[in-house]
Amino acid sequence: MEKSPYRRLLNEKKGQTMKVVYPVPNRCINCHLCEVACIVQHSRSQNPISAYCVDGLRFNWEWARNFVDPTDAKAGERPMPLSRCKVSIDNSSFASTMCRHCEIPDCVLACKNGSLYKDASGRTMVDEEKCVGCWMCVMACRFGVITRNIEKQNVSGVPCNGINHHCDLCPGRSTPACVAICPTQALVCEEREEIQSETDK
Amino acid sequence: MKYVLVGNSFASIFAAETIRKVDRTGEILMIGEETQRLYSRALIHEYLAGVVEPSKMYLREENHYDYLNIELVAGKRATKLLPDRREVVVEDKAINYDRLFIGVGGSPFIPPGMDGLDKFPKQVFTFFKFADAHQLGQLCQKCNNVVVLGAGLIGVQAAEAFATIKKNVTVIELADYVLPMVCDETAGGIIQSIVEHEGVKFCLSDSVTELAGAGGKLKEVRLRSGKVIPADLFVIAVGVRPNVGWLKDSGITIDRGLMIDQRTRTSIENVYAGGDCAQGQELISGSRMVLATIPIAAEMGTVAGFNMAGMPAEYRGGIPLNALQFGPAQIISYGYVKEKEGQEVLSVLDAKNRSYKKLVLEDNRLSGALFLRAIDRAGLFRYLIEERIDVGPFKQKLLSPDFGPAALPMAIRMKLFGTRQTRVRFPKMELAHNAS
Repeated sequence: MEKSPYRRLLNEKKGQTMKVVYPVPNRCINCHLCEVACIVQHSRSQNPISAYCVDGLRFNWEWARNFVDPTDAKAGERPMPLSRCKVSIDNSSFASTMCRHCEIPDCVLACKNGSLYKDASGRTMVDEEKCVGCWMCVMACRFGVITRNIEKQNVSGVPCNGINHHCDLCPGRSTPACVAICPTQALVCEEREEIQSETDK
Repeated sequence: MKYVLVGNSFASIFAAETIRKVDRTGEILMIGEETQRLYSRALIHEYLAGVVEPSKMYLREENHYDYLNIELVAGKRATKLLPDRREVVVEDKAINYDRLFIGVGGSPFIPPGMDGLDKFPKQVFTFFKFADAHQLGQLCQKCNNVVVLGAGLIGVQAAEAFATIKKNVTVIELADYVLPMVCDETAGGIIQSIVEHEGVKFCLSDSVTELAGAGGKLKEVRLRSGKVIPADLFVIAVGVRPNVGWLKDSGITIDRGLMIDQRTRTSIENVYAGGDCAQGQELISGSRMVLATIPIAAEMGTVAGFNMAGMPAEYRGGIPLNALQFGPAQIISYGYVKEKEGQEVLSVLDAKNRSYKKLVLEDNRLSGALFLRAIDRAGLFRYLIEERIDVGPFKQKLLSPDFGPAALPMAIRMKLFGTRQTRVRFPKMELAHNAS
């Protein structure tokens, strides 16, 4: 029952706000500690050394998948925890972004088999056992914050499949790990009024 | 208040859930054509291939309707709409409504010009419903040669599924490359080679003229080019047309689908529509067209649900979009990826990794984007296209592998990430009676 989107739809009143993570402009210094904290928080060992240690000095940031064979037995923790936020870089401008947990999420609307849902506290979550990796969510998310987790596969026999991967607001923590670790307070977790800008109308 | 929803798929279920969110006591009645538990039609090819268990195809929990207090009439088809009497006729019973939602979807289109199509009813199929996939899966155990007509997304997905279960499958397509609605020639070529590698054969720029057999049994398919292809099963997958024939006499405005406005209202009062049978705003051309994809259907359904329950909401329009997976390759496609004259094209092709990105621009505004394999975080382009954003200032960065929110001008970035906004708009002018 918990997995149904309707529970959230029923619980929430229109306009009710919830805490999500917002990037603060011009604060990010491109240190990627948010990604580090995210990976460690979502690892089994909760320890940066084993969550990270992939045969010496290779790390498992998102881009590192290009260099590391995920089936390599020497590589660190399995399944490899992957970062749910990403620092995007453009010359000297940086911004760490992650799931908005929208009130009416595009990804939940797009999900082919209902494996994405809003939980009772308002977070947008994925049923990791059900997701078949059709990538409708990646396509639908206008914020571009959904990635693929190729460490998990629910469809047999398809080489590059995976499942939906996005921020889960660190269940069990009062402040998400990325916000807590950010040295320049470039990420804040707070409630904000929903604003409709004039140009949108 | 009595809400009647015709149809039982994405648009209708989101409409019903949204109605229930706003109106907890109103009576909700859904009329579904199929008796099957609510499932996703977009996954039947994976079911046929045997790579996805049926349990993953169901959209909602089994007791979902009971929980939401929705009455479901399954296995019945609406046959007539009587707007003067506020009634919808389901087979021979008239059902009264206060608000009606029409989300009947589409049905497969059977192209004309093929001889002998009606001679072999047990071997000619469309590929649309769970029952089709199930039946084809059982028939496949006994036969070997499958011919699929149409290399659109349903056709190629079906062909790939047949190849997965080791059938000898041939796809016949009128266009000169595969997935003509989603891809351009380059991406189509890559997908074709991937699917060919899995064992599917293609006959492009060709069409079927005749189905031939003996003793009531289909043996072969004859093509316009003169080729003859052995066939035990013939699967038609050339597209879907809105299911609006039953509404012809009701006086509702129909073009290709049911015309809907920004509030998803049809031309008849208290009748709303959404999904594959509705024709709503398309944002690139500004005209209204049928956009038959899940996210659009679900968004229309949600907006209709709010409006029906008395909470004004706006559907702002959509663009053609799709995401597909073939073998190891994923495709995400937005808008119109095949360039027309006067349009600017930006593209990167990595032949070794078979990854490909292509953008089509017109006056510095994106009108199409195609991603093959390199799909992570592609969604930003949906925003750029739908909002008709002038990408001139950061055009050269769009195709960089690092393209992300940081490359956007601060004003756009703040609009995206500074607030928690939703696409569905709730106009403030009229506050509804039961909106809290």
